[in-house]
Amino acid sequence: MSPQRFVTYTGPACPRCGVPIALDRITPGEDICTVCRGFFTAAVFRPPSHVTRVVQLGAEGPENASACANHPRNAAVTSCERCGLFICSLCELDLFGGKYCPACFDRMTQEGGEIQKSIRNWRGLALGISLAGLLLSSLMIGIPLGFLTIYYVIRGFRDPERSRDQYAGLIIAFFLAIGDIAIGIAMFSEFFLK
Amino acid sequence: MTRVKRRYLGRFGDLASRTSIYERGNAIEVDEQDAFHIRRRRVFYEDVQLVTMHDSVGLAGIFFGFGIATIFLLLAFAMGRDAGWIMAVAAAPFLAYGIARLTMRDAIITVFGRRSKARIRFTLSPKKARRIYDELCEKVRAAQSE
Ligand SMILES: [Zn+2]
Ligand SMILES: [Zn+2]
Ligand SMILES: [Zn+2]
Repeated sequence: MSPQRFVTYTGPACPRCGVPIALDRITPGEDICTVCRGFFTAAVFRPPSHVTRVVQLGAEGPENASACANHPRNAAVTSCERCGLFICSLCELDLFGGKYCPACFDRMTQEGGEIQKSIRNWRGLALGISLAGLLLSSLMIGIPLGFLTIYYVIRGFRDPERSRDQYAGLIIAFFLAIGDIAIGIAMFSEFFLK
Repeated sequence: MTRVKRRYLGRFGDLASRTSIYERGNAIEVDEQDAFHIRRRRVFYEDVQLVTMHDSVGLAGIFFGFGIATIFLLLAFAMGRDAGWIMAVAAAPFLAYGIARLTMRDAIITVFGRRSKARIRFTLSPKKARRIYDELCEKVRAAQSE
């Protein structure tokens, strides 16, 4: 999955009109956007830069701003795109066209990170297929599509990542599937059992 | 890989996409849905730079409420005195919903991280929005002071 959407993300912005705003220019509490004149409530944070922490750890080595954070004797060739850590060519890791330090690389690949991860949408599949079955039920395709829907509904409920907000959609899909199958069977008996 | 249970926070939908937003451990998780797939990404609390909350008119909800109510009311007039009142009664909750959405604005929370953002819309629940906003700010503060 290409991370294209993130190229368009430019950091803190007015939540109403989307115009980028520097963090120092935001008043915590109530603020007004200078462009759209809209009000919003804001809380500003200064995420600790991981750089300083590591430089302190390696302070015993030669004090050099452009040394690799993990290898004080190596010159840094770039900085990590996520945490800004200076890294040497040994530490530099590629992920979706970006350069990351080993810690961030591990985190992003193991936990899903900010890199997009594609997962089956069981609820979407179940609803889509059951509705298709309803539209095509006069052709008796409703029977297999109904069973396919029930399969997706079961997968949806057994998904370890499921959450309560998806249940309504899955239950609706289940009843639609019963309808698909019932109409399909009615059509079948109409055409073949007479 | 340990699996931390996640908590549903809310949704956000616009013309471009539909997303569900969850809290999982030390991050906000954003599931962006299309018909058959979910694209999942995270905004870590320790990467958050800005959290905002603002109000917004929920046009879709207003149109939905008044639209359905109008259809029922038209049916009520078409059916006349005998059965029309049934349709009028059916129109009432949709009318009430439309008026509620018109008078009570939605609250939208936006969390800006270093690399991506997450957005949640709260309809007819400004208190819940405020609670989640305070809670998110508190968690970001805790994560960043470690
Ligand atoms: Zn603005
Ligand atoms: Zn890093
Ligand atoms: Zn290195």
